[in-house]
Amino acid sequence: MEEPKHIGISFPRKDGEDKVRGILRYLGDKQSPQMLHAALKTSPHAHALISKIDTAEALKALGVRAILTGEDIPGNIGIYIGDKPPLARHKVRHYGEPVAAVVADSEEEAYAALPLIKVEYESLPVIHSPSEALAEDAPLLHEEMKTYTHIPAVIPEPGSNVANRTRIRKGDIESGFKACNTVVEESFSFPPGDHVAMEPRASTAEILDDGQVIIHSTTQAPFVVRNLLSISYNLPVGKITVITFPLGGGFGGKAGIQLEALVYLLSKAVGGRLVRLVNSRENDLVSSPGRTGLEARIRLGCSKEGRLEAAEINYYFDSGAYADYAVNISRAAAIACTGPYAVPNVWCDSLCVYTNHPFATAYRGFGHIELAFAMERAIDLLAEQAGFDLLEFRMINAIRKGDTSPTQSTMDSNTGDLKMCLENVSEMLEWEKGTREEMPDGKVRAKSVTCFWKAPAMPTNADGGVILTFNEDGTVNLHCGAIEIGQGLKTALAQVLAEKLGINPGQVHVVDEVNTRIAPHDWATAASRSLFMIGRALVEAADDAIRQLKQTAAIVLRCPTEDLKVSEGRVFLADEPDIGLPLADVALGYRYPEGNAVQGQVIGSGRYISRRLTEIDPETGKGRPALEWTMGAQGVEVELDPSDGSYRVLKAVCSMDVGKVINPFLARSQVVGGMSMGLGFAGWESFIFNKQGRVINDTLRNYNILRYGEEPEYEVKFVETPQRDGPYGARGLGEQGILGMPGALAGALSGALGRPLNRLPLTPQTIWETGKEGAK
Amino acid sequence: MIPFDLEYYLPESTEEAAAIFAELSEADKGPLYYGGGTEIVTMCRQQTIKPGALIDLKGIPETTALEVDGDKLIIGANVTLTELNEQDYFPLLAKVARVVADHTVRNSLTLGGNICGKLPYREAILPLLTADADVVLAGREGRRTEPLEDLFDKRLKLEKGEILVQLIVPKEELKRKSWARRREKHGPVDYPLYHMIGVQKKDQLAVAVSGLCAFPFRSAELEKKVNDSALSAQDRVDKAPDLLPGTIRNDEIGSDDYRQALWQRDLAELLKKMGGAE
Amino acid sequence: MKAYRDIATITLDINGEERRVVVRPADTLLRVLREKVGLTGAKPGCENGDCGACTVLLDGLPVKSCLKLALEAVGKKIITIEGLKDTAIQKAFMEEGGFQCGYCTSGFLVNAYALLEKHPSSKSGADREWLESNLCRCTGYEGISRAIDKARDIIKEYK
Ligand SMILES: Cc1cc2nc3c(=O)[nH]c(=O)nc-3n(C[C@@H](O)[C@@H](O)[C@H](O)COP(=O)(O)OP(=O)(O)OC[C@H]3O[C@@H](n4cnc5c(N)ncnc54)[C@H](O)[C@@H]3O)c2cc1C
Ligand code: FES
Ligand code: FES
Repeated sequence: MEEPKHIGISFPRKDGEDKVRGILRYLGDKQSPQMLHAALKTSPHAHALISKIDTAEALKALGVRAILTGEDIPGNIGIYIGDKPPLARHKVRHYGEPVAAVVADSEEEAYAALPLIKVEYESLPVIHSPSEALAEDAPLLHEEMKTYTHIPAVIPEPGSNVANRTRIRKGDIESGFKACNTVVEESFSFPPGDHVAMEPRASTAEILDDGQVIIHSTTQAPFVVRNLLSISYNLPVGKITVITFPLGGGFGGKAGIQLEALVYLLSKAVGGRLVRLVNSRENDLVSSPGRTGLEARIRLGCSKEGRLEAAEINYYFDSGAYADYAVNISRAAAIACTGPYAVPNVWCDSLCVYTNHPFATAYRGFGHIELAFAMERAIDLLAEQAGFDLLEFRMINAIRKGDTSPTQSTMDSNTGDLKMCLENVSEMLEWEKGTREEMPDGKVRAKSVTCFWKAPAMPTNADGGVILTFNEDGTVNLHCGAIEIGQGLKTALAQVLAEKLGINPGQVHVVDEVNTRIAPHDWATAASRSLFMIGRALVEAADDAIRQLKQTAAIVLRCPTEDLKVSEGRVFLADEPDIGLPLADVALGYRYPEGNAVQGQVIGSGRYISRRLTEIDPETGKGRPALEWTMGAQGVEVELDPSDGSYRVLKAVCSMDVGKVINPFLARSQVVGGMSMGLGFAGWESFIFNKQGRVINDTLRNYNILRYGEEPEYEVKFVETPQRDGPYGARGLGEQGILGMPGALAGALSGALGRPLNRLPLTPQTIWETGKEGAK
Repeated sequence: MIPFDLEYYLPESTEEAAAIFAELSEADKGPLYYGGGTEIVTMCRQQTIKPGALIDLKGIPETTALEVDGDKLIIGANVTLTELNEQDYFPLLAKVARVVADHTVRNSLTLGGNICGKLPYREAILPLLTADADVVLAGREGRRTEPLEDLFDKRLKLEKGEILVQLIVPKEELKRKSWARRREKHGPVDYPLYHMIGVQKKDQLAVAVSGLCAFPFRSAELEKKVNDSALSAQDRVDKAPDLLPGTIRNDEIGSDDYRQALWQRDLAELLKKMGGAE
Repeated sequence: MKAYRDIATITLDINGEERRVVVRPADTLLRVLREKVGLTGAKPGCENGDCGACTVLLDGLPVKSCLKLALEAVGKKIITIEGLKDTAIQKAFMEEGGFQCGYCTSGFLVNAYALLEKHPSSKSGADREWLESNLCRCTGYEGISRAIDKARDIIKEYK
């Protein structure tokens, strides 16, 4: 085979020029005079009955066109469980929940009317955590759970606060523990938080006279939005159009449905006029969904040789007030519950639990960051107790081809080389030089290592498609339903197509906007599956286009199509390259000198649908739910000042088996971005609640994310064990950089402190307190 | 984005400013003086305040002056923290100004706004408290100059409609040996857990702290204890928490225990570095 | 004394062009730039002074335009990202991966541009001091800090 020209190359981003000139338009940048604007009145309580809402005065305010409250709009929405009224009805279940929405001529007028809406509440007891929610006498958040619609794979438990439970039963857990030489049991936890994409979520809606509904939204999943709107509001799906522009980050927070339904209802309330709703940062943090919290309890045992024998795992996901994606996150965490280790006997119950926290949706990592934190901490504790080096212990247990996953499916020949990743981490951190060092100034340096894995958690029929059209100059337009969200997907796709057609990536024009009426169906830009699935569809589309190009050329060149080759912007005889035509001459059909034309334009199409995926057995979890596993290892080196708990992350490293690197520059920056987010997740990012369950850090003043200058030195090494069914051997890598970081930071700081740190966030104060307890 | 309407005035003298303030108050417009706006604009957006008019003081030359006049440094109240950071007449003020908010915000944020703001921190006042500065105020009744110490009790006690025009610092206070430490929950842009400065004066070590209690302070009792040479340094540090003018803050930024523990350590370090009186 | 009691017409000097705009006295500079002038490069990320996505230059100094009244900018030179063309820092951001989603990019570039004007040659503590005013969620800052170094190189070469 020829050396690829455009794969494995750092081709500059297609959207780069527009972005550095500030001229790329995001949804919020597009306004027009006919728009009406909406604003949300939100709840100051975490759990309360709404006894009265008085909108009379607000309705009289200047510019106000309509006000909706929960009572005005029957019905619920939800991705998997229809549990959420678009505006709170009868009661509020979390701080920041919208209770009323104003539509006015301007955004200013909409906001000015908010204080005029008078809401009376009767507070209810607040559920602060999954364990409180699971207590016998816990108040019920959703008394009407029995009546909720839900998909079959998710099973809410009415009469409790459990939204879903996933069971994994592999091997025999009792005999597994009997075979163990060392067993540890410990709890781990962290509170919920937010994605903090820099672009706040926004949606607009308009209902045309013929019943067409046009939605513009900052969504990662326009087709999901379209489908759920259709189901929830009984609209013919073909009458709904959802349009998305490139996003200012998403990280999962834009994968569900929320503002879209609300803004549709608001448009309806004003006779179908165009209504725009843009989140304030406060609303984006607490009214729109964030990420899950977790409480975990793990019992883990190994043999004398350090082989993991048994794992008993309880994950309690804090989904907040509504289930949204969290029910599937808890399921994904069960499927991958052990992390990338071969464990013969596994028992896991993974629950999605309602609490009075802001509700949670998909978040980079989708259950795998959560489980990785808990499992990696448990592994550290076990390895230490059993007297193994933390890296060596992971080497012994690293999953490989032929092992079985927790769902008992066999790891195939595409399985990544986790051992190689561990070796790379060892090298990058200079593991052999020691993992803990006390400095002369009293500070302590320590290193850590973690492993991670992730497979896309998606419907068994998740799909994607590509359509290629051509221009007069022979350049190609690439249409697909996936969203550019910062990950550089469209650049990578252009490279794949350029490789297939033997042209320059500059000759590929990617269509940035996704319109569900025009773009081929696409499940969602989530789960790190876009490059894999769209890439596959693209390869098929390119082959289709090549076939058509050859057909036209064969007529003109009077030769069999099999003898033709497409490359360097030409189609020509493979054995007589001088005889050929430029693509420009055949792409839109060939026109003979005297005027006759043949064949017509080339339209290449390709599709992909997940292969041989199954649901899992509700009792044992047995099944094949995972398309491809991306795995790797990470580690950090920290310097801790034990006297006050302050610390610095000196270095963060990651080695990941991505099958094939399509664009090294983009790949590295995705991974580094994920790592930085993971450090923030572990170190300081989370909601802080007061006793009443109110989020007291609902602005970026006090919800900290990583800042310039706080970043450590990053080092990334890719391993390339081909994913043979992936495009050019590639598999997903968009989320994975985040996964092992929380465990790595907690591990290194625990090592430095000499005391286990099993709760996040790792603020200096909590480290100081843990150190003090230890000293007692 | 400010959702409601308001009026905006740009007076050129304190007299003009005070007069329009009075007029607007009379008309129930609830006017506010406006410095850098970094607090006012955010609070207006959240509608936690709803002034009917803003009177921007930055058009008054006196409030933006920064100069040495004989044996005094004159600091206009609406000089920005960036300008304070870049001057070298008063290094401690430069240092303290450098750690409030972030650099871009400091290009707008003014000293007067910081001192008169609603937040509990108001860190920029610390070096002025230890420097025995005077404040120049102007109002309907004319102007007055008073020792800051007399006017500052938890907050600057302005009469309604009074403008903080300038702060005046005696020259001998400008270059004293000093020490400062700001501690945050996480990083430098955060609000402080506390911010403490120590200044070696002729007869004593002066100490001022923000963030520890609900207001910034320089306390005579605390300073007495800190300077008590009959006690060992450790004893002074141990007794210090009892002499605070208020309870130690316990909030989402940090617990009272954590604040106290760190503060006592820093106080010990301050004593070690600075000895005591000159 | 200038007084603005109601909606008023003002002239703003934006990227070297005089622009007449009608504003409410309460309008922030960010909103006026985006909604009245159509320059949407400066972004709202928080409208609370915390994220820096709205950064523009006023007489050469970076400010958060969400915290400025448009009226305060009268008589000052406003530079937005749209006013920066082919600068070293823009080039460096492209080459070094200073962005992914691009939402924070205008603010970062404008701030970094002013930083390099003030500190063109040496890498100093000023980099962190200035740039910690802006938040980026995508990049982990690695590409941004590399781009600053690169821009300094480009500027040096140019001289
Ligand atoms: C990102 C960010 C970070 C921040 N971090 C900090 C921090 O770390 N520490 C901290 O202390 N603060 C911080 N702040 C809050 C900061 O906005 C206020 O403390 C600030 O000092 C206000 O100054 P200003 O000049 O902008 O005042 P303005 O908003 O203009 O005014 C504030 C108040 O002072 C009054 N005022 C202003 N000038 C005068 C005068 N000359 N005479 C009488 N009254 C006057 C006004 O009427 C108003 O009540 C931060 C703000 C932001 C946006
Ligand atoms: S929008 Fe101005 S700082 Fe965030
Ligand atoms: S590039 Fe997305 S926030 Fe910076």
